[in-house]
Amino acid sequence: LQAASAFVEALVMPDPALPPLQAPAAIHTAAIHPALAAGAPAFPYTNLLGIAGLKPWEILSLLHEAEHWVETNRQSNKRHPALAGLTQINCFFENSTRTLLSFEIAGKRLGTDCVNMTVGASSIRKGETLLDTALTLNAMRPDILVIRHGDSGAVKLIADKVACSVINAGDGRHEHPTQALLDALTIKRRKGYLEGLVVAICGDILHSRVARSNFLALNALGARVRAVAPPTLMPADVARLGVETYTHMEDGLEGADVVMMLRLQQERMQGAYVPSLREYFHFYGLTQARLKRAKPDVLVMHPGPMNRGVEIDSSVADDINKSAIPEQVEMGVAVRMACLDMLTRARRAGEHA
Amino acid sequence: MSWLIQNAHVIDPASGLHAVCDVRLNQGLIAEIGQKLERGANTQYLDAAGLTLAPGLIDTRSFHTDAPACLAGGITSLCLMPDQRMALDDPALIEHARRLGGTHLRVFPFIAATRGLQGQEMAELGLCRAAGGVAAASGRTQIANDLVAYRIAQYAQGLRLPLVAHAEILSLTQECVATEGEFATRMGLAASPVFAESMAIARDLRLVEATGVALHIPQVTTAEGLTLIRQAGDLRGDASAFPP
Repeated sequence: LQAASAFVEALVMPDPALPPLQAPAAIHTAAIHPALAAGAPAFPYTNLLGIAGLKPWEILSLLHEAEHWVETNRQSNKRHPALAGLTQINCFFENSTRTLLSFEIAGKRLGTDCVNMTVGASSIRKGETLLDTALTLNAMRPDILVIRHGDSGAVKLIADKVACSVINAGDGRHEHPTQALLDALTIKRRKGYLEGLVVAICGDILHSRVARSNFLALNALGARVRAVAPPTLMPADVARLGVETYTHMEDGLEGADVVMMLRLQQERMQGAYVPSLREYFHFYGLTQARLKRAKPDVLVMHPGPMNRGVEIDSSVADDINKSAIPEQVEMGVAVRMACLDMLTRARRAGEHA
Repeated sequence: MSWLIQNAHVIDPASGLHAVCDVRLNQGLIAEIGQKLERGANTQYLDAAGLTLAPGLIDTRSFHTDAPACLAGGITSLCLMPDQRMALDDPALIEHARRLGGTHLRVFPFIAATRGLQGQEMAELGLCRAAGGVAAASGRTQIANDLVAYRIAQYAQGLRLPLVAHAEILSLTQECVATEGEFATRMGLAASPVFAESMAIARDLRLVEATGVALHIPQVTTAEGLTLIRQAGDLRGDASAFPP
């Protein structure tokens, strides 16, 4: 398998036929955009459909707000009803437990009237089109729609048709912005900074919206991002998204500050991308032995739910010195509160004025 | 202990030697090749007049590991095709196949590229390679599913594992015993078109281009197929065929 490192190098080399990579601009987390000084809103959007298009300082302002909610979430009274009276619909066309719960708790702590619409209860089963469902929901005059859908682009399609704020809670293999934000916040709090950190994102890159959102967010914040996957789970031209690619787990982990494992998404797989779970674990499972290649103070993350013994060994997942996995879940609520707050701020201010 | 093999017809492709001469061995290694070598002390002799002395042959496509038959024919190494009673799709079977040659015949097993050679699910190529498999082979049939073939090519290249592909489109060759043409028509043989082979080769060469995997096509029977392989010399990967 030594020979494969030459192959990896060949992969990392840019193809001269393609235009040069758009190098992520050097960013300092302390830098604040000049417009903010003039009193412009830090996050001038009503929708969060993806990390794509967000400026580094906009991401940082969300993280900054979330830090504040982390503190209040640790107090016994967690209710700060800044959004009292707003209606939030969590509209999940794809099964989810943790993300749905996280958005629901975030909404309730901010005082929204928060209701869930899951696929089992929806009219989709009765043949209604996605846009008809969107228009129906819109007619109920919600203030916030949190949407998860199995198709890439579906959330944007709905957002174009409704009058309220829309948060993408995951669309197909495209984006999952709140996950990338909570990951960035977790790293920032544990490491103190993001610039220059080597973050290895490992596993099923092909099917992962978490990976795509994280590439964008971490690059914007100045981290060095690696994509580590077997060739069959590495999307074409992924290096053009500003990441270094590795098909060898050991090489990809070398000197990493953060290792982010991805779930092998067997439910999205048509046919075999990897021969078997035992072979996948043998070559790509995160074990303590493999983790020795990373920095001694490496941080291990996983968006969940984990497949223990498939992409991650239990001894790594449960290593309290390295694993930040429970912390990611905690940051999730805070980040989602920050998003709900920031996206509706202009509207609420307008009504009060 | 030394050996002197005398009057053998020595064929050594590496040095271009092709003559009747003597070969001296020391500790099992060739020490000297020449005419009328001196008999030394403590040396055993073998008169090989009328016999051929050559490097051990490598059979690159064998379906059996019959060591006495191989050694009698000068074959000292063979690549074992995965089409065994149980397809060689598991690390334990690869491990077992490696030992089938006994002391003098070296066996290099080809891994069944798909489970049971059914052409549907990729076999555990990485674990089988670690167990001693040297290539991923489709066996006597082509991997008809293009997606499966593509993923195997990608995955094998990640492991630096060459592919050995049977180039024949099954739906075009079923029941056929010859390639279409005057001869087959005259003899009344069920025949398949030339492109049953060349289309299969063209697809696999395209996979080489896309993934960089090394490809060996062990059986080529049409001029069109050979031409495609020759043209593929410019590709990123390697393509080879037997006969070359």
